[in-house]
Amino acid sequence: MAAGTIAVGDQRVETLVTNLTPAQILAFAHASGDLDPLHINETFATEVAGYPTVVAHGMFTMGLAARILTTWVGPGKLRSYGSRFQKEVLANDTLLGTVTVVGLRDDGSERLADFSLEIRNQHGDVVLTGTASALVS
Amino acid sequence: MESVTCPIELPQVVKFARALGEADPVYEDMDAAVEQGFRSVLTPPTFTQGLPRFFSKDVRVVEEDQSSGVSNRGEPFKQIGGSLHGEQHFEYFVDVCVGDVLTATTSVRRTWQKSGKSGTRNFLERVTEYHDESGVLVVRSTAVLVSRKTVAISGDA
Repeated sequence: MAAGTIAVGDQRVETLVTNLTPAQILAFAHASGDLDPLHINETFATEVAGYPTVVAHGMFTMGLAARILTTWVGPGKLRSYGSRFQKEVLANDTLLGTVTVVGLRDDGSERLADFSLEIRNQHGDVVLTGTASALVS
Repeated sequence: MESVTCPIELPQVVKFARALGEADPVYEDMDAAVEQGFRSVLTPPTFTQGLPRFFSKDVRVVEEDQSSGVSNRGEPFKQIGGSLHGEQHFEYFVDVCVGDVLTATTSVRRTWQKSGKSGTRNFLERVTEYHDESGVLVVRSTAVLVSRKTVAISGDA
């Protein structure tokens, strides 16, 4: 991507998932190898852990959020990507992601853009905040 | 410190990409990946995080005790009901592609506690560095894990 096409303040807002299903969480559990019963066992999640239903992996939300970045700057362009998991994502949630360009800088020979990320659920609660930097030229 | 050898294989990459709803063919098609300048099928940005779990000899069997809420997937806090993932950070140095064989070396950088109204939570920062077969650092992955249940301040957990 040419540096001229991205500017501080540019923003993308995308729906990451609508009504997340337990089956989607289960598929991610197997794909990622994280079979913690909190994610895949309804009885465990509700009766033992005390949640209303199964909880999605933080890495699932982070992986979904990465798509906004990679579709924007292109695959293989990320130089760093970090997330703080603020609140549990549950089955049936709908997630809306907002990614904003917060800076542009040179790092050696590379032109980098810095991004902030914020993912909210259908109640407006922030479930993930994050930052990323990506090569843009 | 534990080192785990992790071969990057196509079926696992495709399964991971599809679980995340990735539509870009660079994550499953060799021709598409090569056309975009990658040496092979590319892995999605968060792919490496769980990789050592598949190849570590220590965590192949899931053990869980539903009455106590303990699962060995919650290492290293299994004695107090497992852990939550508080933060995750990646630093990318080289693309990770199908055909790579990475060595993942994990170490605990620091541990600390935070006290609140309901008790004390234990925190642990774990760093995993992935090196390729030439010894080049390709990805550094840093996780902050938080004990799932609060523990009494006087507790030994």
